[in-house]
Amino acid sequence: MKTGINLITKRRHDSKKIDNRIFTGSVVLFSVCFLVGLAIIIYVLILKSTYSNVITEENGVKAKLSSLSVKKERSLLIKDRLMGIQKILSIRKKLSNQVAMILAEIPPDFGMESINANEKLISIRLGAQNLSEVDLLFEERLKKAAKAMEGLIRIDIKSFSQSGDKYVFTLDFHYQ
Amino acid sequence: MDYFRIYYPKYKKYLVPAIFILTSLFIVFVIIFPQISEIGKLNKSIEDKKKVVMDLQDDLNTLITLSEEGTKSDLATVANALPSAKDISLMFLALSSSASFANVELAGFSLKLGGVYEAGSGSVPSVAGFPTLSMNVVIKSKEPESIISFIEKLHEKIPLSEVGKFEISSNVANFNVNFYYKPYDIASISTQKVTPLSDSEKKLIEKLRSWDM
Repeated sequence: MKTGINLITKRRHDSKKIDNRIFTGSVVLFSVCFLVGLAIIIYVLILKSTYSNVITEENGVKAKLSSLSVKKERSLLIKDRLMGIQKILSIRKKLSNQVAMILAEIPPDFGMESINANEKLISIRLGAQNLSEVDLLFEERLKKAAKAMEGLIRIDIKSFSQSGDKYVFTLDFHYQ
Repeated sequence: MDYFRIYYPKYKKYLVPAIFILTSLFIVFVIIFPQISEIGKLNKSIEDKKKVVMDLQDDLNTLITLSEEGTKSDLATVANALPSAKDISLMFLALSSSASFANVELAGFSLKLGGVYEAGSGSVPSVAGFPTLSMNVVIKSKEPESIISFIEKLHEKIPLSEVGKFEISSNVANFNVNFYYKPYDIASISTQKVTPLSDSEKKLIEKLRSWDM
């Protein structure tokens, strides 16, 4: 009697193999998705716990800060005022420096009649008895000093006249 | 029903794999994808919060190192240098002490205070964005140098001021002095970070303190 008879056809055998592969593939796919999903959920839970810890830490620091709130406010106000002060000091024009530089060039025996000063123009009216000294002032002293005067555009002799025994003249110093 | 009876035995073997595949798709689209976006959001929130905590911790460390008396004294000095409102007594003190230093006579002053109340945001005279109180000052001196010295001293007095223009004739000088002030903007200040004073800021406070004398 023949015992080696194979009742299952080759086609049916292949079909069974494919079915097994589909089943195995679906199980593997499900397992992978399940594990990845689980890992992600665990990771999210860890992150949520970390976030909650950071919030707790923040509340702790805030509580400590609240006891120093007056000092904090004071410190912020100091900074705010200092910023304003630094800005003012950097933009503040020192008209007196410009006038002082001009006066330093005027010989002491010249009489000062008047000074008018603003940001753009300093006008000085002087009186002098010696014409050669006036000439020296115009030709040498002012020309030399003008180079050191910051922002100076030009110097004009606005008026020149004789009044009694002296010469009276007005110098205009124009600034940027 | 016949339809089911015919096809069910034929495709019964695919039922379990189909359930697995559908469940996998469900996991991917309902759990994995939304959680991935949640991870991104959570990581960003954690980073942001950590930065906030670090800033708060820095503030706390800085505040602990600051002395109570030191901050009080510094605030008094800087608030006198740049007051939050028109403080006429401080201005008068600066004028009179400058006049006394320069040995000139403070003959008088006049000012237009204005601005007690105005609905809406009224226009306030300002220099470079800072509101100012303009004052006309008259001083008397025989020496023009003394008048210049008065202006120089006024520049080294607090509250901070700037001489806008002046006229000197017959030993009398007329000045236009702008005194600076700046109201506190608490809403903007309170969001700032506390930082220790830099060396230059400490030097500036010392300078202002010397101007306060």
